[in-house]
Amino acid sequence: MSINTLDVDVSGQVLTPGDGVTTGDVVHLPIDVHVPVADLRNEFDNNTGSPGTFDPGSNRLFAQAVDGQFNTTYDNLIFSVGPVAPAPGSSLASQVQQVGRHAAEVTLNNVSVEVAKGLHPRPGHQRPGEVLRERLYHRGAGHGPEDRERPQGLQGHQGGGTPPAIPT
Amino acid sequence: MPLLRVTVQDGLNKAQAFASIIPYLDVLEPNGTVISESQGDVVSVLAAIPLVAPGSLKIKVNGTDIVPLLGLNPATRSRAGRTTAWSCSAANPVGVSDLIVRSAPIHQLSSNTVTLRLEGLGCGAHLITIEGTKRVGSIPNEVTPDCLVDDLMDTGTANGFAIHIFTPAPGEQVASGPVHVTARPATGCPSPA
Repeated sequence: MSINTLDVDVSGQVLTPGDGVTTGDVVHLPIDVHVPVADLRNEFDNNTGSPGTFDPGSNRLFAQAVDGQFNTTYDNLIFSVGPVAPAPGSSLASQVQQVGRHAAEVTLNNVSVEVAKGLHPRPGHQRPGEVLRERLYHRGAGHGPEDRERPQGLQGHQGGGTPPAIPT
Repeated sequence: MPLLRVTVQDGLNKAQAFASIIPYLDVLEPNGTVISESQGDVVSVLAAIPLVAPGSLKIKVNGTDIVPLLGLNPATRSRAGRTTAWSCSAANPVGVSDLIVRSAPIHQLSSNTVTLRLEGLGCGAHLITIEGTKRVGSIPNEVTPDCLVDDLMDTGTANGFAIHIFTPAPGEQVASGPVHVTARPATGCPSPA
């Protein structure tokens, strides 16, 4: 039994016998330990390591148990010691959540454009890519009265012709 | 005990069939099997049921007959079937899937097995008991003491092996060390090493 390579005493096992009909035996081992945090300054200065400790910042806690028949089970999680900065390489999904609804809509529209590649529009039918462009134009438009009128003009534009000019 | 077992393997898959001249019930899997929760927590159950009446089967998980909980009436539903999504309780839901009963009289081809999968039993020992009654006409009601008469009930045990970390919580920001770690490994058999 170990936690991040730190051996844990297994002498405190508790057996709860079952009745053999509705419950079986359960053996559990309460673990309650305090794992120290490494002194990185000291490790750098003295070129030493301190296994079985956590580091300041993000850590992965990995707990593993092996039984007498070498069956293995584990649990793990990530936590931090002290303050940590937001990870710059966080996932796209979390970035989208952080940026908010506006960015999420744009991302979805981009997906629809990728799907629409290679499709030929029927006469008089609007292509998905043009829908995206129109939405982006609408989002990128300014705040003057001409821009507010822009969506009405776009609704009348159909087919595969020249896209409307981008308002500046 | 004259129990004929036929096994076929193609290197990846295995199938077994059983036959006997008397009614016999034997839970072959699980047989003290250790199931690691971190590796799926799925228990495969296999029982041989030659000359056991399929309509009489009771499949008990820790003493609870799951057949009526699944909405099945084995007395009327004799064809092999599949069912899923049974929960033992809301607090500890257990999934049942691929429950298939294959049974036939002695003059018909059948593997004479009960198979199912149990998922999410959790840690500790779990008792899977299957019981039934003999097929009509398979053996006389009154036999001499020299005859072997199976009680048509058998229990297999699966040991769930798991470890759970309670503190720190996932994503928790601990102010400073040392870090208080609490966890609990549990199994149905003693001596985690």
